[in-house]
Amino acid sequence: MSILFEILYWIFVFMLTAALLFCAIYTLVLFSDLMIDHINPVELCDKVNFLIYPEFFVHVFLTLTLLAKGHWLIALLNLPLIAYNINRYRRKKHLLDNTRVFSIVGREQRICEVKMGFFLLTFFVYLYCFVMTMIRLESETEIPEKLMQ
Amino acid sequence: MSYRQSNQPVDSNQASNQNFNNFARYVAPNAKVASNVQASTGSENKLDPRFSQGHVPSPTFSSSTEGSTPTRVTRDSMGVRNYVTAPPTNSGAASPMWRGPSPEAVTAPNQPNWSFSKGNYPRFATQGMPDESSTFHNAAAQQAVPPDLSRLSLHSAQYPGPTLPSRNVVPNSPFESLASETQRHYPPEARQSPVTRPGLIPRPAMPHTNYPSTAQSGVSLASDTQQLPRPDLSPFGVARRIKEGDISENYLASLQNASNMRNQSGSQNLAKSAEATLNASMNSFLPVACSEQVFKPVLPCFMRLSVGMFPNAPSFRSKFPFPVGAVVQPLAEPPTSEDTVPVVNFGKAGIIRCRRCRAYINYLSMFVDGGRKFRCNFCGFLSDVPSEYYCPLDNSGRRLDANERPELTCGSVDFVAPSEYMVRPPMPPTYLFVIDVSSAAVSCGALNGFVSSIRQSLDFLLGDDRTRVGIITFDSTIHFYGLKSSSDNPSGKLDPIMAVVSDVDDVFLPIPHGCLVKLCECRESLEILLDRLESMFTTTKDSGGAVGSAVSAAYLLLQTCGGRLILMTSSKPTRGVGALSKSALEGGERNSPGIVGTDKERQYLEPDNTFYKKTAVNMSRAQISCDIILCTSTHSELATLTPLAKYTGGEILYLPKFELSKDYVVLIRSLRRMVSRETAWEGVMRIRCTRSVKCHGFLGRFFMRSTDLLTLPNTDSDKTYGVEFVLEDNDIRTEAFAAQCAVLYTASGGERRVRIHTVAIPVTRNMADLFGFAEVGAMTNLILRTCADAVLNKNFETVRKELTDSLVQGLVRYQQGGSQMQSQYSAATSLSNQLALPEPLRLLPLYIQGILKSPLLCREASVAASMLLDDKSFLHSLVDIFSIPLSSAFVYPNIVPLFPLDEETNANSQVGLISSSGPLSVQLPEGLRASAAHVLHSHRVVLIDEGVNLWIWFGSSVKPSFVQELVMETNEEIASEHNGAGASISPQYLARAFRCAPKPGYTSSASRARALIASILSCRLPWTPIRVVFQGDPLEARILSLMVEDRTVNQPSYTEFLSSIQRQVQSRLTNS
Repeated sequence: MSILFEILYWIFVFMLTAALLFCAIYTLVLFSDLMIDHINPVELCDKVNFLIYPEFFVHVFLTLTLLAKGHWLIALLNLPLIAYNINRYRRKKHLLDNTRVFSIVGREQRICEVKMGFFLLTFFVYLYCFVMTMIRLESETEIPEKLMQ
Repeated sequence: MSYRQSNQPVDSNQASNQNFNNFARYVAPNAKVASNVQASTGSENKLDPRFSQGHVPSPTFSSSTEGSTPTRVTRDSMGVRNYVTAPPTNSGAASPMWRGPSPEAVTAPNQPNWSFSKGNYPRFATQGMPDESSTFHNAAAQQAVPPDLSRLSLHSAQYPGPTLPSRNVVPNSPFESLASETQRHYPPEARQSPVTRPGLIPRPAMPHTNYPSTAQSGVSLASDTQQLPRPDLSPFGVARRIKEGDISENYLASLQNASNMRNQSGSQNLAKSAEATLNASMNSFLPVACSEQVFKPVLPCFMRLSVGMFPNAPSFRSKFPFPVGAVVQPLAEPPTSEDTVPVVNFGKAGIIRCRRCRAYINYLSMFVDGGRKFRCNFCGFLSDVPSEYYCPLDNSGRRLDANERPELTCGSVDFVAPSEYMVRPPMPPTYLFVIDVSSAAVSCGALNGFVSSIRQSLDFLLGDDRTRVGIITFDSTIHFYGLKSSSDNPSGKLDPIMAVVSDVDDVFLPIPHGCLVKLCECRESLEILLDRLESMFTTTKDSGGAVGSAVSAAYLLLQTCGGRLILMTSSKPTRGVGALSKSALEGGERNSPGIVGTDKERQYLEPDNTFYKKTAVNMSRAQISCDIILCTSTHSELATLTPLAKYTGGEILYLPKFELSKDYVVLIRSLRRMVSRETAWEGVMRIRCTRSVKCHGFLGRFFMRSTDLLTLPNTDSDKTYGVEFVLEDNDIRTEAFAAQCAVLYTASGGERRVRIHTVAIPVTRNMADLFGFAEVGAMTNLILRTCADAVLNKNFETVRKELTDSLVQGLVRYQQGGSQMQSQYSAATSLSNQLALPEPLRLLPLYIQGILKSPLLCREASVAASMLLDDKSFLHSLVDIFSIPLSSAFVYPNIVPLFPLDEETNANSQVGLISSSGPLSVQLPEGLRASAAHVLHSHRVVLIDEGVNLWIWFGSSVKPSFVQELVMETNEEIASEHNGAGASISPQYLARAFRCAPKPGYTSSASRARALIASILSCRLPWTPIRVVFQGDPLEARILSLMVEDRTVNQPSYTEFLSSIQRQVQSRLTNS
């Protein structure tokens, strides 16, 4: 039961992280589309702004579940991004402004790349944790001798 | 204005004559220009006001006409002139840096004409200067001479005493590495002496141990303030500054020169310096498609770049800390009628464009393959010439018809666009007036003003019989009016129908037709409505406030056809959509006068909600532009409404403390101008540049639809845009940098057109050229725009520091890189009290200080106290449309005395300004420098032109005769009001008296003052207020803050600022 739960939990974590990663990549693609005039700034901002709240909440939720499961060190790793997002919200800079997009697009793109790197990093950290948990659980679990043969 | 006379055989006499002609056109543009040398030399003493002022160019400038000054100039065997009587020591005994008026120069009657174009300003004389200036007019002679020889001979003449150390010897100094670095960065021609690279920059330091210290370079900070760099304060200089802003001669030369390399003899006027440089560095240049005599470059009023030579590589560009960009005013009013932009119709051929980069054909396009193809000067691609446009080439490779075709001869052209350039039929000019009829508007008289201004401007609406108009009024509900056409209702029942929508949260159109009608058909009905509007609402108790809903209603009405929405309001948005948040409504800190100039101000300059921004973006898509006329007596949250105009290319007119009597004239004139000036409808603008250069950071009123496409639902002759150029990863491989601004628009007559401005300047690898050909007017404008933009996102102190830093860094670069000599010697020999400035940018420190002291970046309590948040917001919105004359006046005001005028000095200053409505020649007195000690004398009346305001300062002991004259000559209406008001004269009353039209045949000083004001106003935005301040008035703090050169509580005086800059430059130089 516990192994099954662990496996399911980590798969869930992987999916959420993949979703976050997808958001970041999608935003990056949108930005590069903008630079080659495939979409106009109004569309871009609609699409990007649509993703901002879900992304934030998914990330917070993920962190909370990690905290609840007692992986507080990993949760701590996620804290800077949450703090950054909250700070942006507080300064009312969290939504892209379609009238100023072209003057901030370079910076936003870089932020997005950093975010993507961050999610990728956490993805591997989660993977490592998952493997470690599996190893630990495996050693803890007493597997009947019969099965070993 | 063309800088070149056509059909004139060019020899040296003619060249100087042309040069004079250029000057004469500034002086009296309509005057017939004399075409022989006698005439020009005979009249010049009378014409040049600088003679009387003592700003005479140094003697070494003289000599363009052969043998005209035999006592000063001799010719050596190599054909190079030596200046036998001008040893360096005599030039600066009293004033080390400036060439003072030399007696010979003043008395010499045939002072050659060169001084007019090159000697406008006293220059920073350096040791490099004399030989440099001499090469200006010796360029032709020098071409025949090996550069080294000429240099040596000049030097021996120039410095007869000690011998120069050989340039090839690098001294063993700790700065050797620096010097060698310079050598790496600068190509050989840059490393040559200043003599062979003439006309660029005063070389800051020669080994001055060999020379008397009086001949030192730079600004001597210890000496009196008389010597500091200032704009030309002669009547001519002031007039030109008011009309055109600051402009560098070298820049004009560079413009000419980028394209006329074929004709060596033809470019002897302004272009001499640039040409000599270019000859030294490159032989082949992009030639113009037409012959040089008919070539007309873009006028500086349309498009001006901030540099006259373009950096060739990104790494090189990054070393130049000032903006490299352009200020574009695509629909500017040309200064004279002969400069109107020609219209070209290609007919069946369609508009000729490069197939790859879509650039339009222009005077730099090269025709090849017998005329069947042309090479794009932006991307180098070969495109086919349509058979309708084909024309064979002559043996020099030019099209035979090139001189007759405006697109190949002029920098500015209008193309008639065929139907491929339309997504729908060209829209008719459409005006929708949205008028506030709430009690706030009625009580302050604004409604009366709105209605009568509309009534008076109906005759001026653009578009003849295609014009469509509509009226919506609003208070706490929205009122629509259905107008009736006279032809449909012959019986005469033309009363308009009124429909009221009280659901302000969800507005709909109650009357499907008749709200927007053709003016010519429904004129009577409209006038009935206007007549009734006032009486309908005189007793209204409605508090109003449905501004946002009224805007959405107007959007609904206009969204299918586009047009112009003129929002006239005097209340805050309090109801319906777009209502202000509670905190904004209560005001709180927003109303307090102390908020301006603090870092808190920033958050209140942001719009309170995003409704107006969203609406603006939607409007921009529907080709609607929104003008805001805000007449108010209280704080009205202009910052929240601003996005409506900012992103739709509209106009903002803010009349604070509105009183009908005070602002009536302004309101009427402004509205009339707003609806009648040249307007481009449903436009888009794009700027194309030479390959590997991109436009970045557009500033102005527009919405950006893609990386380089500006949407301009409406743009007009008063709108200016700023843009910066960014070099991408590659170097520029062509020899000329070209930028083409193209505006596709619908003219008011219903024709779709493309307006093209093409500018080309040479590309350089040389830091000295960047400084030497910089254009200070455009640069100041761009810096001002960037600062105004930055201060909305950053702290005051950060922006101020960045600005000062960029100046310091620029000067450090200049000293390091300007010349090898400088970098070798400057640090070794202590230049303790001097600051070396590049000649074209010598005013930049003054202007940067002006920006720092302007209300935009200033934190002085005295300034802040006289400004409310709305004023600040309005100022920010004005910076977006600042043209160069406005920004020049804004950073350093033009100050002229109005009374008393010295009759004698005026008699010979026949310098005129030309107003846009027709020539209005006024006598302009000498300008005054912006320093209270020089301006604010109690017996004076002084006019201070700040660009956005005209201030008139009355000293306390002005002779009463002046005021009497002023009052006597006003028209009866104002005069009677004055009598009724009693004996005391209010500033507002005087301001109105000044605004009265001057009577013909003016002689009194009052009417002369009035004429002067009228002519300055004609160069300014239509609502520029005249503000009269009496000595001792609390508003005097603003006047004092305009005195840029003076010390204020927190900020240093000009001298102190320069010396602090100089200290920083020195410390960086020694540290590096």
